[in-house]
Amino acid sequence: MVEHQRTTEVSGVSTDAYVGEEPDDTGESILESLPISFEMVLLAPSIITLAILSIIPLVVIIWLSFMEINFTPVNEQIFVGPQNYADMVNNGNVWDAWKATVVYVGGSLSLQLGLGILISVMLHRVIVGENVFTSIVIMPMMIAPVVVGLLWQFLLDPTFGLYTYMMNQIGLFINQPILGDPNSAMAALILMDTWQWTPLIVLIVLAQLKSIPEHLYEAARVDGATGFTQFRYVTLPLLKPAIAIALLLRSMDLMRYFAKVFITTGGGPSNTTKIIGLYVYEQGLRFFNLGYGSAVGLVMLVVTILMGLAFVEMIMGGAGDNE
Amino acid sequence: MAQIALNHVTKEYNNGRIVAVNDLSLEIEDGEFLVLVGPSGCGKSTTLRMVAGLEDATEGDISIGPTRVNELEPRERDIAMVFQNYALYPHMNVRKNIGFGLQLSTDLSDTEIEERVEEAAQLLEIGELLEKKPKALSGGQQQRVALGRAIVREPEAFLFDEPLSNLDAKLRKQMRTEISRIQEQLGVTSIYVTHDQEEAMTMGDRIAVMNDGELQQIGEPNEVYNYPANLFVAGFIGSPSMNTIETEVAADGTHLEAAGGALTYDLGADDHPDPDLSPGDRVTVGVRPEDVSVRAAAEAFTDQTHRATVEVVEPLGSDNLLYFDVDGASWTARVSPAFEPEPGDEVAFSFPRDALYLFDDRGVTVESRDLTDPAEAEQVTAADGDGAATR
Repeated sequence: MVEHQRTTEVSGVSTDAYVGEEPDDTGESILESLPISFEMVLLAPSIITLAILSIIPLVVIIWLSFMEINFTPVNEQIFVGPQNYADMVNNGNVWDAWKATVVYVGGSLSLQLGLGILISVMLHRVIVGENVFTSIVIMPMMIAPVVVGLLWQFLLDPTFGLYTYMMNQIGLFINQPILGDPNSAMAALILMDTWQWTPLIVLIVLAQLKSIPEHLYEAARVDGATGFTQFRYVTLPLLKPAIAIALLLRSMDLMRYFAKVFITTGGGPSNTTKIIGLYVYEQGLRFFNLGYGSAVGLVMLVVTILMGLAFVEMIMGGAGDNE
Repeated sequence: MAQIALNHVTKEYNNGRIVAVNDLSLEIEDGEFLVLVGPSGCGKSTTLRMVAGLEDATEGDISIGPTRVNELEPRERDIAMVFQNYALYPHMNVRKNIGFGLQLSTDLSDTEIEERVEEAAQLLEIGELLEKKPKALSGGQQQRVALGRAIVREPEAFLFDEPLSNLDAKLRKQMRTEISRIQEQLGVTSIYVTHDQEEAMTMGDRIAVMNDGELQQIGEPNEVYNYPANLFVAGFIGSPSMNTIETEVAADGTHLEAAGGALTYDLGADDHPDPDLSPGDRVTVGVRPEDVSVRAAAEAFTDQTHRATVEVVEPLGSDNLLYFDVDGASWTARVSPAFEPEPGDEVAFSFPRDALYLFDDRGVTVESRDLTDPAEAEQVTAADGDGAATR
């Protein structure tokens, strides 16, 4: 109050008028007397839920990754320090799994992004019945991954699969089943995921396409742009945020992918399709190397986060770069 | 620079169910600033977009210079356009926005483009904004960038599509002079579309008034103001709008009578030559608000005096606008700020025979105000001016 009066005096304004307007200090509620704010109370339920569902398991995994656990009658838990991580570096299998993951994630992402942008640009041009076309395009997305795996396994079945039959007709895969060939198995997996998840990219990109104002294209046409240069200089740069989001969602999803691979190839033939998610599953839940599995799982999490950050940084050029 | 010509141009939508522009013929001289003005939906923007190549003409020829451009893409027409919402590319900074057209449509090197961009930026006084993105600019600055994008191309023609509509009133006036200055300096043929008649009057070398897809009148601003071709132009150009009332020529052939009897007017006054009217003709009388003299009801005019009740008084500072009802039609008078009647007051009003506009039953002008004899016009003003609240 004293300070307030001083400043008003300096500025040459009568203080009297201001003193009366000071907020009333009475009427403080019980909530305000506690060392927590109303905002904290509002946030509490979600933070508690998040802790139970996410933070506690994360802490447990970190803890597990430094332990060796033997499921014996005595349930041994030995602290081994960074041993699990050292094992991981020296284990050739985990590197093979990472290589398979890079092929799987990289191949799927580029194929899905390319197709997704192409399909969304085409859908955007459809004038009559756009909703019908969009509904048809997004249908695969609504099927459970396990069902997609089963469906494709059926289509690619060496004896009665429809696609195998078609491939055989043009002289391919006659001696080797598609999912049994080290080269084609990965390609088939990538196609499967592309079939299911390209629609998500289509949806995200289409929404962004619709938000680009028509007059920008008119200005570009007057400025001398052809159809291609319009796409290159107007559409594509303005799609960047949507592409970043699509890449982010898909890369995170692909990194921890499991169901379709588990159903169709189980990681074979000869581990060529054993991506990191499947590897972690095997270590943890088939061989019960809980400590080692947790360590690999943690690395997987870190890699996923770094990849996501890289995508956002690469495409958006850093947030807040609007000036 | 080039002449632009539209020859019997028609634009139809939905297989002819909607006619946006109907048989429009226009010629814009080399270096001329033509303003297309009209109410919303009159086809002025469609016309501009056809010249730009953003819409195809259903019929007729459009040519820029010696070339017929109907089949050419916008990029092949060598025109530059300024849009109402600026249409700046949000992901490019000002420098790239301005240089984009040059980059696409010319073989200039990067340094040459750079020079041209700097030059344009200097002309528009936006040199310090070159590295900013459009989002960081105010509306007026964005509009300058949009102008820069047009100028830098050095095109055959500028097309302006209501470029000032999104600006506030003060900025609009400022940009109005700015655009006129730049156009004059560069001497580029320009078509400027607006719904604002004041913008049209102040900016255009000539103005073309459109309504319902048809050209109503084309001419110099003063010509269109003083000698409107029809009732629509008379009402559209000028603010406040011209006062009008429907009348019928009385049996003696020289008196006009409004249907409700609230107003009769003797055309024979002031030895004015009679227009070619016969008894029973339906004639719409028009008078500009500035030609209506108003006095307190007790005072009479030397001319024909009419009476009305003031409904609204709008003080503008320099003038007062009085609104009153004349036989169901709302009339406006622009009077001196010293004359301030209260709403509900009865007043006397009069208008000189010279100031009269007459339109026939199809709205075509039969007679416009008489500006031929300034001496006589002065006399009328002097007669009204003895202490009375006239203008």
